[in-house]
Amino acid sequence: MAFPHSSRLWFPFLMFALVRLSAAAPARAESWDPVAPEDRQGTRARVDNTADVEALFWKIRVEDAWNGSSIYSDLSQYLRVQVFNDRGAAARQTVSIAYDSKSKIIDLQARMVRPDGTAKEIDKKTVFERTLLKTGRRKVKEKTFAVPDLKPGCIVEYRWTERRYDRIAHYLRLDLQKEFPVRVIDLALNPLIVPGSGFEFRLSSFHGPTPMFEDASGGWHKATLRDVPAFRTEPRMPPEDAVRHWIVLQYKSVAEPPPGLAWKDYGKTTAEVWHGQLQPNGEVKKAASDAIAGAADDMEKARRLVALCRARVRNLQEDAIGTPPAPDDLEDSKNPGTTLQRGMGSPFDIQCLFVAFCSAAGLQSRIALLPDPDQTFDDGMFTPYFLTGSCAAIWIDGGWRFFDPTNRYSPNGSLRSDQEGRLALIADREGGTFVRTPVAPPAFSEGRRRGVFQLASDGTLEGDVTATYAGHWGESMREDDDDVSPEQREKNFLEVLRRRISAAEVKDLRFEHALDGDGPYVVSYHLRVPGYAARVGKRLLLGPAVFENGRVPDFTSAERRYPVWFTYPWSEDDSVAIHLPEGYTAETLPTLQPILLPDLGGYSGMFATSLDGTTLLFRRQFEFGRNGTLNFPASEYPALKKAFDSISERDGTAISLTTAGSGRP
Amino acid sequence: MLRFLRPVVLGWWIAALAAPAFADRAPEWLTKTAAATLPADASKADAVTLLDEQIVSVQGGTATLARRRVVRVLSAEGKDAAIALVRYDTSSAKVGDLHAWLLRPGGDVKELGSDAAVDVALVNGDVYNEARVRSVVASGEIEVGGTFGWEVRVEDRSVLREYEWAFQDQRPTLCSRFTLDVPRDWTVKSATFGRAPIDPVVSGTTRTWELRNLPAIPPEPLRPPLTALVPRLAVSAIAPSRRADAVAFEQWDSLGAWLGDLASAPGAPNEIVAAKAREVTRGCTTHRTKARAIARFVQGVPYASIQMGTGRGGGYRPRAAAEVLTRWYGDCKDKSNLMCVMLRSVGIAAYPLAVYSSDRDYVRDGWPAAQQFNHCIVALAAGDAQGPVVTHPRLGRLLVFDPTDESTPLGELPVEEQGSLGILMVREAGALIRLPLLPPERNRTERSNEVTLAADGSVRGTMRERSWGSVGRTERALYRSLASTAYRERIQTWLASTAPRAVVNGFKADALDSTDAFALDFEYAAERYAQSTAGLLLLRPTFVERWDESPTSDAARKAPVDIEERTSLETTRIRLPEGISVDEAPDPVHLTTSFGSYDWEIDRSAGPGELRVHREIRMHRTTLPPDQYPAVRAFYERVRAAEQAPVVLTRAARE
Repeated sequence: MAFPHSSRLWFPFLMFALVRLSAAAPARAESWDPVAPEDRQGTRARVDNTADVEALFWKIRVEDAWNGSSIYSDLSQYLRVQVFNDRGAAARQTVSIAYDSKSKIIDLQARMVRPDGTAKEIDKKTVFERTLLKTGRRKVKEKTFAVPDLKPGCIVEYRWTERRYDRIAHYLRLDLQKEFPVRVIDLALNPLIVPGSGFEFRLSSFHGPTPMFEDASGGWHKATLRDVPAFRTEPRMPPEDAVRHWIVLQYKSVAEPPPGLAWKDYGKTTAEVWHGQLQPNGEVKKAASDAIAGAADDMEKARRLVALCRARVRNLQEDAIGTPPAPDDLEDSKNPGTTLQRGMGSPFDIQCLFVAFCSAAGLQSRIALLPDPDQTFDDGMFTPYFLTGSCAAIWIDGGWRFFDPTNRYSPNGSLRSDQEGRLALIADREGGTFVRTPVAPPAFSEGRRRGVFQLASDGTLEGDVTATYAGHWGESMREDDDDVSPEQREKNFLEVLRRRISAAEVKDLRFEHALDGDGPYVVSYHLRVPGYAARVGKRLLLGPAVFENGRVPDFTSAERRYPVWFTYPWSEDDSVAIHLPEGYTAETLPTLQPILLPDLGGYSGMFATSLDGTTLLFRRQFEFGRNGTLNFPASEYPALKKAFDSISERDGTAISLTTAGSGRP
Repeated sequence: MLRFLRPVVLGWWIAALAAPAFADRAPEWLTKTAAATLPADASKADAVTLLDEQIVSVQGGTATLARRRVVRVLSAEGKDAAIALVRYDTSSAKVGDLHAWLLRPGGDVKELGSDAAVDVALVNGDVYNEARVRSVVASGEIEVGGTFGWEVRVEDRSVLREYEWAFQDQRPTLCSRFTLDVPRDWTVKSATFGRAPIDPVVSGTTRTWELRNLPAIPPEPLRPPLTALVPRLAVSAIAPSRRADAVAFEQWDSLGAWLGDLASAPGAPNEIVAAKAREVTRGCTTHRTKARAIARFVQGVPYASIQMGTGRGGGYRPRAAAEVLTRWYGDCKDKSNLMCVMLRSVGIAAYPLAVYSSDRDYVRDGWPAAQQFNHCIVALAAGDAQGPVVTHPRLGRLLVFDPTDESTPLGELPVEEQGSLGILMVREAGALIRLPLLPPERNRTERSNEVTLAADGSVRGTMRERSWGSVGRTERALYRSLASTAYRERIQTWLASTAPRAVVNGFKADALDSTDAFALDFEYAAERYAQSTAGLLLLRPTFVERWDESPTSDAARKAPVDIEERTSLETTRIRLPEGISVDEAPDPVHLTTSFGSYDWEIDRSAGPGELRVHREIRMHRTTLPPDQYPAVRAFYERVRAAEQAPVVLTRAARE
C-alpha cells in the first residue's frame, strides 16, 4: 500500500538538496512510557493465554534522514515484554541485539518493572559489546545484557536505535511476528520524501493484515496492529517466509503504472538487458543444428537441445562431487558462445545458452523469471524482488513450454518441483507476460517398489527388493545424495530403512542413476529381517506392507495452525510376494476398503494368495496431488489427517498365518 | 602478418585457459607432508590427518604455541576436515597470521590468505565471553584427493602452564606430535591417557611426544565419548619457584588450595546473603529441609554467563555471592558459590567442587591440573541424607549437588557427573574426590496404563508415569524448556507414533512431585487401535515406547559398548469388552544378561475380561568389549520384537 496522501505528493525526490536536516526526531522519548497498574498485575498472556511471555507493545519507528553531509536510516524499537512463568523468565533473561559493521546501536536502554511498580534500570556498564563474526569484508556485532532479578510477573522493557549509515529504508524488511505474542504493534514511518522528487514511499505486507497508516505531524505515518500471535513451526508447513507476517518498505516512483503494466514493462526491460546474452554465435548455431538433425518435431528439438546443454556444459552450482572451478570460471559468462566454449557456467548462463540454441534451431524462446520458491507470489503487487529464479520458455504447439536445462536430477528438461505451479514472467522485448508453469501429474513422480520374499517359520523375512523412483521423487533423492560419497549414500539408506525396520539386514545394495535424471533412481538390495512376523501361540502375524511397515504416521498432531504443503504430486505402486513357510496358510484375507480422495487421488490395497495358497500377494497403489492440488488450508487438516491415518491403518494390516489344523476351532 | 598472428594469439589464449588456476607455492614442510603415501586402512576413511603438530615454547609468563596441521580429503564427507581452527581468549592470547594452503591432486597450490580468515565468538549463549575462534574454512573449495594444510602462531599469556594434546580426532592420523620447550630449570610432568605411557624424546630443553598411524574411531551406537577413546597427553610445565603468571601443579591438594584461594573472597560471609538464607529456610527445622530449600532457591537463579579474564584464572573465580543474589543471575561457579555461602550462613558446611561436565571419565587422577575441569558444583555436609554422598576423611559425609542443573533435585546427581573425579576448592588435604555412582534403581520410570477396549478395537486409557533420576531429569528439562502446549504436543506425537489416531485428552504434569519424580498423567483415546479382521482383534498391549537409542548397525564393531543404567517398570491393565476373549497371547519373554534384564509377560489371572501386561527392563551401567555388541543388539531386538507382538482376541465366547 502507499501511504495516504502520498499520491498527491508529486514532489521532486532529491536527497541531496532540499533537506529535512537531522534535527531528525530523537529515536526515543526521554522517559519510559508509564506502565498501567493492570498490566503490572497481569498473570496470563492475553493474545494466547498459554504463552510464557507476551509483548504488551512493540513500537517500531523507521526514519530516513539527511544530516547535512550524508543520509542515514534509523530503525528504532521499543519492546515491553511481560513474563508469566519461570520458563518465560529464563527465555527473556538475556537480551541480544545483533547488527552489522555499517550500523551503530545508539540509545540502548533497558529496565525491569516488578509487579509492585518498582523498577530497576539496566546499568549501561553491564551492556556488553562483542564481535560475533569478523571476516575480511564483514563484521557482525552484538550488544548483550542480562536482566537482573527477573521473575514471573515482571516486565522487561528495552529500546534502542539502529542507525544505518549511507542507507535509506528502501527494501527494508521488518518481521512483525516474534516467537511470543504481541498485543500491540505501533508502526511509525518517516521516509525522506522530498517535494517534487516523483517518488513515494510504499509498504507491502505479506501473510498478515496490512497496516492502515494515517498521517501524523512531522512527516510521520502511523499504524497499529493488535493481537499478533507468536510464530511457531509445524511439520509440512509452507516455508517460513510464506506464513510469517512481514512487511517490506520501498521508495517507488509515483509514475509507476498499475501492477499489470509494471510487470509488462519489467518483462520488456529485462528482455532488453539480456538480449545480448541470448544471441547465438556461429559455434552455438552449428552445435544446435547438429543436435536437432532429424528431429521429428519441435518438442524433440527442444529435448535434444536440453541434452546438448547437459552433455556440453557443467552447472557450477551443482553440489555433485567434482573438480571445483577456477575463480575466473566463476565470473558470469558474457554470451552463450563463451559458455559453450568454457563448458561450464552458472544456471543462468546455461539457460541463456539453451535459449540461444533454441533460437538457432528456429524455436521461439525466452527466459522466464520465477518467484523465490520460499515465497508465495501475487502478481497483483509489483514485487520484482521476489523473482529470484528463472527457466526457459519455448513456444511449442501453440503454447509456452517450460524447460530447465540445468536440472539434471529430473527427466530431460523438466522443471524442478519447486518451479512447478508458479507464475512465470516471460521476458519479452514486446512486454512481459505471466504464464503459470504446469504441475507434473502424480504418475510423473512414481515410486514403484517390488519385493519377493520367503518367510521362515521363525518369522524371518528374506528376499529381494527393487525400488524405482521417477520424476520429482527421484529428483529429491538425488538432491539428498549429491553431496555425499557412495559409501555415505549406503549408510544413509540403511539408517532410513532401520528407522522403520530396526532389525533389517541388507546385502548387495545397488543404486542406479543416483546422480543423473536420465533414468529413474533405482535402489535394489537383498533384505533379511529376523523376527519380522510376530509369533503368537500357533500363529504368525505378518504385515505384508513391507515398504510401509514401521512408518511413523505423517500427521500426529490433533491441531493445526498453518496450511499443509506437499512439494509435488506423487504416486506409489507396491507389489509384494511372500512365500509362506511350509504348511502355513493365511487364516483369512482381509478386504481393504479403497480410499477415494476426490480431486486428489486415492488408495487401494489388496491381499491375495497364489492358487496353491503358498504365496501371499499384496498390491498397494496410492496417488496424491492430482490436478496439482498440493496446498491445504489449516481448516482442511482434520480431513487430511483422517485420510492419511486411514491409509496408515490399512498399511498396518496384519495377516494371521496358521498351520493346517491349528486355526481357530 | 595478421594471418600469422592469429593462431599464435589463439594458442596463447588456450594456454592461458589451460594454465593452473592456482599459482601459489606451499611451504616445504607442507609439500613434504602431503607427499605421504596412505596405509591401506587409512585410505578407507573420508579424510586422513597427515600431520598434527603443536610446539609450545614457555618463557616464564608467556608461551608461544606453534601449530601445524595437514589433512587429505578422501571423500565428500571428508571435506569438512579442511578447516583451520584456533581457539583463543582475547584477554590472554594474541593470534598471529593464520596461513592456509590448498593443494589440488594435480599439484596446484592455492594460498588462503588472511582475508579468508573468519574470527567468531566461540560461545553464543553467554552475555559475554572472551573465547573466540579464528578459522579458515576450505570445505567448499577442496576437492576429493586434495590436501589442506595450515599453520599459526599464538602468543599465550594465560596463567596456567598446563597443556593437553589429543593425538587424533575420529579420523585416522599418520603423525601427531606435541613438543614442549621450557627453561632449563623448569620441571615437566606428563601423563598419557587412553594408551600406554609415551616417553618423550628429549633434545636439550625440548621434549617431544609422538604417535604415528592411529586408526580411525568411527561413530558407533552406544560408543563411549570420543574423549574416552582418543589417546591424550597431559603435560604440566612447573616453574622452579612459585609465580603468579605461570601456574601448574604437582599435587592435587595444591590445585585445590589454588582454586580455594580464588573462591575465598567471593565466598566470604555476607549479611545480605545470610538474610536471604534465613528467609528461604524460614520454617525449616532440620538440616535436610534447610539444604533442600536453599538448593531449590539457588536452582531458581537464572543461568547467565559473563566470562572475563578467563586466561588469568577468571574462569575459576566466582563472583561475590551478594552480587549474584542482587543481579539474580550467574554461571555455574557463581551459583555454586552463592549456595555455599547461603548454606554456611545457616550452619551447613559447603564447598565448591570443580568437575568435568560431559564425560565422567575425562578427569584422570594422574594429572593434577585445573584444565581438567570445566564445571562447578557443590559438596555440602550430608547430615543424614542418602544418595550422592561421598565420605571425605576430614570433612566427613558430603552430599554432592549441581545447582546449575535445574532439573536434578537435591539428592540426585546428573548421570554424566556420577563416578567422575572432582576437586574440592578448599585448602584441605584430600581435595580430589570420586563422586558417587547411584544405583540403577535411581534412574527409574514407573508407568501404569489403564485401558478399556471397545468391541470395534478403539481404546480409551489413562496413563500415569513417574520418572526419577536421569530419566526424570531429561523429561523435566524438556517440560521446563517447552511451552505447555508444545509439551502436550510432544506427548501427543509420542503416543501417536505407536497408536495412530490417538488423541491426548486430559493432561497434567508436575516437574517435581513430593517424591522428587517427574509426574505425568494423561488420558487418551485411539480409534480402532486394535486391528479387526474376520472375527479377530489384534491388540498390541505395549502402547508406548521410550527408547532413546537402540543399536541397529550391524557393521563390525571397533569401540567398546557403553550401557547406561536405567530401570523401567510398567503395568498395563486392559479391560476387554463383553464377548471378546483371548484366543492366543505371545509367550512371555525373560532375558537375563550381564548388562541388563527384560521381562514381558501377560497375566490373565484376573479373569476373562481383563489382561494385565507386566513389562520390566533393568539395564546396568557397564562398558562391554566390542565383541559383545552383537549380544547387545540381539537383546534390544528381542525387546523390540516382544513389544511389537499383539494379543489375538476373538469374538467367540469367553473361556
